[in-house]
Amino acid sequence: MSACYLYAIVRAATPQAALDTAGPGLLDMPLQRVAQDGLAAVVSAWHPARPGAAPAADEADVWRHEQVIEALMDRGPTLPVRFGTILADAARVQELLVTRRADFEIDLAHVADRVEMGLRVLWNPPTLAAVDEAPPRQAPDNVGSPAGPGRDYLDRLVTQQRRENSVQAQGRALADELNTQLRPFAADVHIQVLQSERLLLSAVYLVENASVEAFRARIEALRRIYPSLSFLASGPWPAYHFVSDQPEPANTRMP
Amino acid sequence: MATLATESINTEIDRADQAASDRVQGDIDALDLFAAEIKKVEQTIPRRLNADPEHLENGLARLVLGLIDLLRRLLEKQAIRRMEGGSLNDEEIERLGLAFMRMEAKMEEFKTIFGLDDEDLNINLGPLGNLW
Repeated sequence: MSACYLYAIVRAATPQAALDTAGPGLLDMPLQRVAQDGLAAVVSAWHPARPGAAPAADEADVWRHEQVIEALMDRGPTLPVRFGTILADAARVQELLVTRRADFEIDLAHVADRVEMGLRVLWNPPTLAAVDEAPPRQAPDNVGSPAGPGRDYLDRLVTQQRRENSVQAQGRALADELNTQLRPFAADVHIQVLQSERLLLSAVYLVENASVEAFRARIEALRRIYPSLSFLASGPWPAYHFVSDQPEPANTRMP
Repeated sequence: MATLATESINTEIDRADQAASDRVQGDIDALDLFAAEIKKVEQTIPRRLNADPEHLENGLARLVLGLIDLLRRLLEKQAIRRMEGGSLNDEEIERLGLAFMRMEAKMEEFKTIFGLDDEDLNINLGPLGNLW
């Protein structure tokens, strides 16, 4: 049996007809099911001659992978697998379904009839010089007393740290405001705040299919409320970020 | 045949481009800014060291200097905490401050030698976030 390129995990009851309409997969190979204990992995044969070779991440292949998953989503709960995930053979796929069965069942129930919506927000952080210096937490006798360049250096660090903390606090409060506005539309969210100086918010929301338009409308409303921020939203996508511990992509599971 | 295949792929990509643009919403004119920030965030430690001797030296320098800089910053924060807490006398504050000044100057020297800047040393540890 050749190596298997993975697209998704579905319920074993998903009919072969669903795969036929979703395919073909990468390399124009037909989609196949590898079923085990009520679950099935949707796979296609991968480079029999070069089983360890990872797929090139070119646009056409990435979209083919995406289209297969989205077609499966139309037919029922689907756990998307990351692009480039290859297992050595069908036996390894079955092993994966056995060892991760409990997680996959929970995840399938979690993502059913839901999609992933991504959001990134940029802000212009206040310049450090413009931030009001917070009063010192304590004012012991030895802070600020005259001394040499060593104390001056540490005093400058203290001031800089207070200003940075103030900017961070403002950013976190703003990100919290935005998330509070969007959270009611989502069953789940993964959120990261201030990953870089300007990237205020980076989040993925798990949204009911029926709530996608309302979610997008709320983002438009937020753009009007916060004109100084830049918003970039995308979706709907398969719920890639809501699948726990995916198999390693590329050829890392090859024997 | 080859032309037909190429046309088919191009059509598929055009369709995919349309599908992608239909799903994007917001400040499209700021796409370059978003791309630049995401690139910063996604800079990670290379999984393998580049075997080219020049790159190998630079990669190792980045890693080692990044760790040294992290320790320096942690020590500075600890010193500030103790200074604000009033557990250091004037002489100790002056001595520590001078030591940190010299460490910073030395780091600047090393960064110049290896052509690195602050961003290079703030190594991204993936899910753990940035080094500092």
